[in-house]
Amino acid sequence: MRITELYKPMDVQDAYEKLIGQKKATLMAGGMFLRLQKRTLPLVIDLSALPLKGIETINATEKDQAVSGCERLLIGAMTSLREIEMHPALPAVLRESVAQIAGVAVRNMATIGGSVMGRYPFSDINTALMALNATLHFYINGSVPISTFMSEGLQEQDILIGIEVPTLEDVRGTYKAFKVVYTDFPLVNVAVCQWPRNPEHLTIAIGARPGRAAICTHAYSNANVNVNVNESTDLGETQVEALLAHFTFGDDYRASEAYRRALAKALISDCLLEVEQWKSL
Amino acid sequence: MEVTLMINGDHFQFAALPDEVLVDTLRKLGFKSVKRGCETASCGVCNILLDGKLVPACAYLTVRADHREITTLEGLQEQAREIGAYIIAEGVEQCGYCSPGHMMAIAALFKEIAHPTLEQIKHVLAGNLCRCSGYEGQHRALTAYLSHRKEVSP
Ligand SMILES: Cc1cc2nc3c(=O)[nH]c(=O)nc-3n(C[C@H](O)[C@H](O)[C@H](O)COP(=O)(O)OP(=O)(O)OC[C@H]3O[C@@H](n4cnc5c(N)ncnc54)[C@H](O)[C@@H]3O)c2cc1C
Repeated sequence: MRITELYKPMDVQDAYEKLIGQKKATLMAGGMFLRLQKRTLPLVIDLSALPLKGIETINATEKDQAVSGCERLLIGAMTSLREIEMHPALPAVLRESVAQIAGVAVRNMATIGGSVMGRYPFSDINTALMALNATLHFYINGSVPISTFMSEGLQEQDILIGIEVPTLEDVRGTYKAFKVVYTDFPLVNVAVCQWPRNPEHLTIAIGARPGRAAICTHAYSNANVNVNVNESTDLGETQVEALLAHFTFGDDYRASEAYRRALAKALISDCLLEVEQWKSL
Repeated sequence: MEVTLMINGDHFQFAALPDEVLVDTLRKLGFKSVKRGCETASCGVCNILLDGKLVPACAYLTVRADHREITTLEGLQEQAREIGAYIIAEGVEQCGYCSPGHMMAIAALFKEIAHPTLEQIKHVLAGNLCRCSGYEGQHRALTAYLSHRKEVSP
């Protein structure tokens, strides 16, 4: 990556004006993925000094109160993956999803905002955010459900300000990924969330499937499905197969479609076993 | 762009290009413990502490570090000597290229957890690649070092 000019904005409005004011202006969060690109960026807008870091409690909207309580958590877009990993107030599913992303040094730099905006097909954290039904807060576009953003992207340039997720009390979740090497990209990953206010409702997301289109250019590969599981949950093959039928899998140089499907089946079964155990808590 | 850095307690002021990364800056300034490796932030040999946090110097833009504090292994000589003795005792070192990065990761971990378990160490060192040791020797050395630390400051 080459950079012709690096601009440090005073505030988000300043950053936004620069972004829309100059063709090919690029926002930089952790800069980890931008850095790997082999191109020259004429103007980079450095978000690192803006007050977009950290995790705060906010009031839930009326709509969200049906599934969540009165409170939600807002994670600033510039919060590092390591902060997320270590933060005791965040849902476990989110913390688990980032714990094996590269090394600590990378997790100290890479941000949740850069991860969401990159819409990487291999993403660990986006799978967890999908299962959490996270809401994205944009500077101009306002609130956008993550599932909408992952499938449709944005029509216009914007700055992600924060990511809203339920509190620890309002969701129970588990994340599992299959990685060939501890810190590698996942071959497939699964996140399952259960909502204590509506315990029969599971949200399941599967990522890194990796999608039939080429992995690098395919922006969205997580599929998300809400499944109502009745009291007498049968965790047998049939149910897992039925869940898997909601998802498509694909081949790439890292794994075949069939292998990914088989891995996903095992991961989902493990997740559902955990869900069963929560019932007795 | 004008940049001011505090490196191992000393002040440095110089001009840097917008895309210059810390590994280049630090090596130019003589901090040769910061190695050049994969240059994709995947191997850990260029690890440094920035305001006390572990970061890969190959991916950190120098201009972004303006007015911040950097620690390289040159600034942690005592700790390096101490851990180094255990590394030598266990015969871990072969080429030694990855050792500074490893030690920086360990130093960062000790800032977070005074007495980490071996599992916590393995988790943190997962981002540090070593092509010749097979890691077992490092784990042995660090286990021995940890019990020494516990004895000295429980
Ligand atoms: C060595 C290495 C290994 C990795 N391994 C994994 C892995 O195993 N699993 C995994 O899930 N991820 C992995 N990642 C990816 C990492 O987790 C991050 O997702 C990635 O680095 C992007 O985050 P960033 O903060 O660096 O974003 P940047 O590179 O700064 O930005 C990414 C994109 O998002 C845009 N952007 C950033 N912030 C905003 C904002 N606030 N508003 C609008 N647009 C914005 C940028 O313009 C850019 O297009 C790895 C990364 C590296 C470098």
